[in-house]
Amino acid sequence: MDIKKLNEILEKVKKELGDGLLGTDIWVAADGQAIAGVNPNPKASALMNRMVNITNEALKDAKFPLLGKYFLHHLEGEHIGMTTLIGDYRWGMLVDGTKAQLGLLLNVVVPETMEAIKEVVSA
Amino acid sequence: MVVKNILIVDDEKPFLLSLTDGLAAYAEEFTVVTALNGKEAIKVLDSSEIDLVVTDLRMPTMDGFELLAHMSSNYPGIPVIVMTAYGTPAIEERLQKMGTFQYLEKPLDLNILADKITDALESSSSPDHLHGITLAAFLQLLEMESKTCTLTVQSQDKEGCLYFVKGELMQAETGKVKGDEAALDIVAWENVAIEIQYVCTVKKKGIGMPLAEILMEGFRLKDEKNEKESVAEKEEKMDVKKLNGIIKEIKEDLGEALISTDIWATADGQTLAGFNSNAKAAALLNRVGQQFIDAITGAKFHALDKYYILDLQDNKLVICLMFPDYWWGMLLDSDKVQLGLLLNVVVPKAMDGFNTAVSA
Repeated sequence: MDIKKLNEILEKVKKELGDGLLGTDIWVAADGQAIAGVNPNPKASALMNRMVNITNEALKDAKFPLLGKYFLHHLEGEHIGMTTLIGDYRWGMLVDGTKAQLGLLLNVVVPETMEAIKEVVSA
Repeated sequence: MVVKNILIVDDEKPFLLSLTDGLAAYAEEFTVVTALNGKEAIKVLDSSEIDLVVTDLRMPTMDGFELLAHMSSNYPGIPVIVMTAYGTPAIEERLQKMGTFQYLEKPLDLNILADKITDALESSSSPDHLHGITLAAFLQLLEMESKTCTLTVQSQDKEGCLYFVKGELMQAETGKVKGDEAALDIVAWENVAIEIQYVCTVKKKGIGMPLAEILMEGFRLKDEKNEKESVAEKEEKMDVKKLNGIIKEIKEDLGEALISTDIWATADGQTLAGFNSNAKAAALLNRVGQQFIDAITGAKFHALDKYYILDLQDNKLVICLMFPDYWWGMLLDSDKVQLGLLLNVVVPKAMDGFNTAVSA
């Protein structure tokens, strides 16, 4: 896998979100270990990975559709935690909601970045 | 600084003398008065201003339990330190968790006693401090000291009896209720007055759970009841008509994108208002949200605040808005909903509307 490319993708995210991006990581879903990141936060990656599993278990138990592309949490201090699901990998980020625009994040940054990551991890 | 008065109760005169001598070094903080048994201690309490009682449990004439029981009805505000020679660290830990009172192992270390006295006096002056000994602590001391007795417990207009044989809780009764159910109720009563008689007429055991379990379960049930009462109280004050009005407005904003929505109490998951109500979805979001909170709290991460969103397969999107005691979930068609509209218009409108309905 081209890890350098993944880091470049995340650097681009940082450029687009500026001060609004507090940290971002890409990790392996199976073990929660990060493989690329900007201001990496292994604790947050492990937590978000756990939350994907918790959510999917609850959805499965209730016979609901499982998680699709992402989940998002509004956290104290106007922080936004977002985790996206890309095959066997997860991309998560912590954003300052007062500095990053959610519209830009959800409609531009996330779709473009997910596509770029998917290309690298499936190569 | 006001000098406080400490009453130390023990049947060993030399021990009392050595404590009085040793604690003389703290004369600027407190003075020591002594009594040889519970009966003498009550006379002192009746005739002087006492700020703290330090008592042994095993004494002739009137023992520590009788003294503590008397204090529970006559001097509930006076903090207590209990001295005993028969405890274990595990019992101490359990007792400390059960109430505001302190517990000391004999033989005593004078410095530790002085520290405990100072701590108890300082915390007793705090407005939030609960004074005196709790019923839970009293019951555990009875168990530890293998007492055979009958306790009559009163709290407000309630009265109940607990029967102990050699430290084992045999039976409990309050009104027509007996056994575990009565014990679980009585142990959680507050501001109790206790009477103790060293006889127990009960021979057959009517209690199935160990005392420690009864205490834990009793408090859990009480917390649960309090929470439900608080939610019920809020619901009575809530303007449900207004909530339904806001749901209608939101439905107009979101159009066909809104599949269903529910507002429910987190304590019991019961829906308060909704559109195309989906109890299963509400229960699911309640469970997922609680699990998020547990995971985030456990990891000491930023706490979950206003909402969470789940993008689901099958073109569904879920948003759950979180208010104190109530959550509001919406199941949406992700192909039809615009996130900008949802986050910038619908969420603020729902938040404002809910808060208005609550404070109505």
